[in-house]
Amino acid sequence: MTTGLDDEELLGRTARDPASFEPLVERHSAALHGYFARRAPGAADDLLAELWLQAYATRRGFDPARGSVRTWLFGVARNVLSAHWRRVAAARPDIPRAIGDDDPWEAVDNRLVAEAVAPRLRELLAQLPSEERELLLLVAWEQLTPSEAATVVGIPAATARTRLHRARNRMRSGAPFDLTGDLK
Amino acid sequence: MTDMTERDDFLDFPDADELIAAGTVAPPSNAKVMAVRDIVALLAERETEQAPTATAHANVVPLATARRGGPAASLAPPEDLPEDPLVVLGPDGPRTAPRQRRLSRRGRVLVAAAAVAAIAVGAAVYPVLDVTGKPLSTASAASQFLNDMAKVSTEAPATHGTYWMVHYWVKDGRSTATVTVYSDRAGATWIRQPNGKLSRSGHNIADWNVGDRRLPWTEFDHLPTEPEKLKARFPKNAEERFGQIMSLLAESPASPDLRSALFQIVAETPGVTMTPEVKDSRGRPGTEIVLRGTRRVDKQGAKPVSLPYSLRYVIDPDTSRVLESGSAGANPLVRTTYLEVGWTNHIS
Repeated sequence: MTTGLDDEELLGRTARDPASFEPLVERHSAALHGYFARRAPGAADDLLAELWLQAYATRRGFDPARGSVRTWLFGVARNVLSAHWRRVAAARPDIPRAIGDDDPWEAVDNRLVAEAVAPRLRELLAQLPSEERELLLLVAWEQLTPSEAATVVGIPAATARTRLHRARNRMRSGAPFDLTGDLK
Repeated sequence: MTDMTERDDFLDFPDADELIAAGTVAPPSNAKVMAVRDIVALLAERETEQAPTATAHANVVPLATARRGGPAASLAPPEDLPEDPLVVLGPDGPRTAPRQRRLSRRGRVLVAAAAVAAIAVGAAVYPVLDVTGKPLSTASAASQFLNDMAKVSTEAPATHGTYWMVHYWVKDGRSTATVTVYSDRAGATWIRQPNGKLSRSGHNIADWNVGDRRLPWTEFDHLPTEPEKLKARFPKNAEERFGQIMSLLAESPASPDLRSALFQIVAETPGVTMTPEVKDSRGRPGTEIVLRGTRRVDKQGAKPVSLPYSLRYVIDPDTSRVLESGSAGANPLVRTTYLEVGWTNHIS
């Protein structure tokens, strides 16, 4: 049985026993589907399938020294999402875009509007540089630690911490009643 | 400081809780996760032909049903169906020993593709094959409809103007935009952007894909209007050919005779289905045409897999104009709704 094994053991076994990959799908699909649903609603189901095909195909590239299987899967998901939005942008190249072709911000912002998030919060997020925003959302929504988020994005942990720190300060400084640094 | 308290520290700003709460989404249905798991299982099986290790699953796609015209079969065009007799992969299926007849590799890839499609399109499927593998009436009805459109096209007067104008509304999951594109005979292109600004386009979008070539519409006159000859100019691959031709029908200033020939070519595409009396996203009535199939995807470092595609168009049966294009399903990747397409003498 494979159910008692942890992710890394399962992935390590897939070289001999490809079926060991299946429990990973069951364990991580909900979180990965959530990642897509927040950033590409409507395409989440397709992207989840694409992610697992991609992850299975590239499973030998997993390096335990660089992080957990979960973190690696989010990294693959990030690439799948990015390719998705680039495809969408390429389908209509004549439409001018204010942000990068693969930045999901517009979709994320639509979600924030639908969830009736305070306009001020949306505005602050919109003003963040896209890499700070991405890290912040990975930490807030995917519940990744700063170093996990760094691995997902492919930057050193120290860089991610600096950016997250900056992002938090921007989110604070833009808030009302925050002249002293105290939160409201 | 541990990683998690560090996380809390970075989320220590006003309304962070509101932001976190806004990320709450419904989890995927168990059936979807199981279907994906089965795709992976099938891929894994391909790698262990001699030593199957997969266990029985209750949720795999029942292929026998598929063969009878159920969802899975309907997603593969007739030409792509595996020749081997299909094996039921259902609850009583061959995943438990003894493994009587294994699917051909191609067959299993198709199952995987169908399973992905089942996730993608849910219950909205259109039967293409009946028990005997012959096309159902929907397919021949689609062919009939497209041939009718060929006739309607020739009845339209051949008109001309200074600029060819395509005014459309596009929705791509992130944003929506209404854009007008003007192009003249010299190949210059202007775009009226959503903010009202008019700009000369950086890239020339007055060219259309015809086979391997990018053809400006001033050269359309050189294209044959005899369907068989014209078909030879387009890709042999049904999906590519269908896409190129529908794009010409939707957005190009093809003459009535050329449009007629283009409709006759797509009318011969196997696997096209038709649904009359639909409405496009602007509420305009039309007839829906869908081509579904599978395309081969080569990923580096892995064996190629087949993934499903669908191309969907809504056509105005009275004029043969394309009203809308995109993929099938509730949330197409990109949906273009044509608001006005034709000649004009002024850029407005």
